[in-house]
Amino acid sequence: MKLINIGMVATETSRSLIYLQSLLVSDLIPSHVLLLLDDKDELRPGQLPNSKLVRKFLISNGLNHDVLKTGSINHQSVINYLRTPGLPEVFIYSGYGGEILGKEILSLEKKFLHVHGGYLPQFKGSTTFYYSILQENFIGYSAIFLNERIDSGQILFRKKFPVPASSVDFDHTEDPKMRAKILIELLHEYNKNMLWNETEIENTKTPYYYIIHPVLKNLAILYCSDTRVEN
Amino acid sequence: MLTPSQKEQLLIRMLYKNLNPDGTLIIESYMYSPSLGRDFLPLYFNFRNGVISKLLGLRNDKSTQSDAQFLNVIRFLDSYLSLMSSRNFLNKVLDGDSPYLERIFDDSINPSTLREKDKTLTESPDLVSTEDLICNLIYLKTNHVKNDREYFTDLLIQKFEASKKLSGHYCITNNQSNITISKGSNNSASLRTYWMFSLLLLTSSIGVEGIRILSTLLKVNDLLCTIPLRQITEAIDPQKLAFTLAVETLIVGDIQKKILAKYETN
Repeated sequence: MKLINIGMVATETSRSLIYLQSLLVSDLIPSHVLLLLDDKDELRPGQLPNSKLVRKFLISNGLNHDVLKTGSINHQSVINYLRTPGLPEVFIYSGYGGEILGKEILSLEKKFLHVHGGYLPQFKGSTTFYYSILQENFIGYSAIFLNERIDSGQILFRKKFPVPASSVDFDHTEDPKMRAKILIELLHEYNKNMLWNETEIENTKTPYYYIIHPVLKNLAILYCSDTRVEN
Repeated sequence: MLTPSQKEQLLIRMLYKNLNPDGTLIIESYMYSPSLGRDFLPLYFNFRNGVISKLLGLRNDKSTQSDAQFLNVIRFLDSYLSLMSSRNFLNKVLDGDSPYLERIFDDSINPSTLREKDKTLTESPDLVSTEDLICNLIYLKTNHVKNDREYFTDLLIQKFEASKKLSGHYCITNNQSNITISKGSNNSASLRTYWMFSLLLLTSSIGVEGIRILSTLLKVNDLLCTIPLRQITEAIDPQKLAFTLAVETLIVGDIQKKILAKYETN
């Protein structure tokens, strides 16, 4: 089933690939995909070392897509592109990590649907996945429409999960899979009545988490492993 | 079997990209740092303890000098550190066999020095020296003074996390109850200011609820550990820097124990 009026901004990242695979398996096909290709030599956060997998996936599955040669969602070429008539109003957002949407792109009549790896409003910022394992013994995800402030958009859906096993690759596998789960659940809900359920939860005034230090990240992974062994 | 030096080098390679020609480290992005399982934490403790040992070998006359903010932080942390039965360990870090901590509590605190720096923000709200601002925040925190400035610690964390640097001065703007700070000078903060920042973060890093701040503290201390010893000990008393690092390792060890205990009871 094609998602009506919902597109996707993708990049050559593990998250984009897992989103697309999950959407296809769930029969939720974005009406249009915009793939941003970064031509810099250094890998961007979340970028796959063999970084042609997303494009190959789009082609082999016959998904309607366009490619822009920039890694930045705020690049003028992206802004010009999104002004093209007939494009969807809502885009599932899977850009490179570490970039916030600028004023110009947010002024377009588009909404960017993002699944954040933390239970909002409590866990706002980066690598909250690991912080919530250490602090609360769970992981959480929240779907929001992006606005000008980091992880502060209206919350559409949020959910908690038990901590996963540490034997898996959190950053490139487990985390994108959990985000995809939330995305699929939200889109199925949306498809029922074509409405976004914007919650009343206040999503401001909580402190930000910054990229977790490797000592704490390893502590989080270590104790996930211990939990799994004990269970 | 790796030698201690090889283990230290391994840790450095995991966290950082490579060495500058002058021996300092180039810090790589902390994003997507690798997971190294059970070997990682002992390496971290080895690395920090190695730096602590080297610092203690460089004690100088400054060690006996009074330092109001340092004493404030020790006093503030004392009940926590006593709970962890770590005072003997810290006495050792600070002064070998002599009970340095006891001396601090009994004799060394001069109430007038502890009140200093309380004027910083009220007198000149626009442009502040980062060191004065940090001293002020330490004073307020460690003396449990009710205030609306806790937010400033977060603003400094934000600045540091964005660039892994602190400016020597910041401009404070209060616009319709939205307080922001921006770089007030092109000069980087002094090494002593980074150490003061580390002290400030120590006061909020305790326990599971302090993990957010602890993450930044570890990064600030990574920076301090990467500066050649001769250079850093000209700016900071080696004994006091060693103390700061030792308390950081105690906090990490404490969290390690608490998380383990939490999972064991689940």
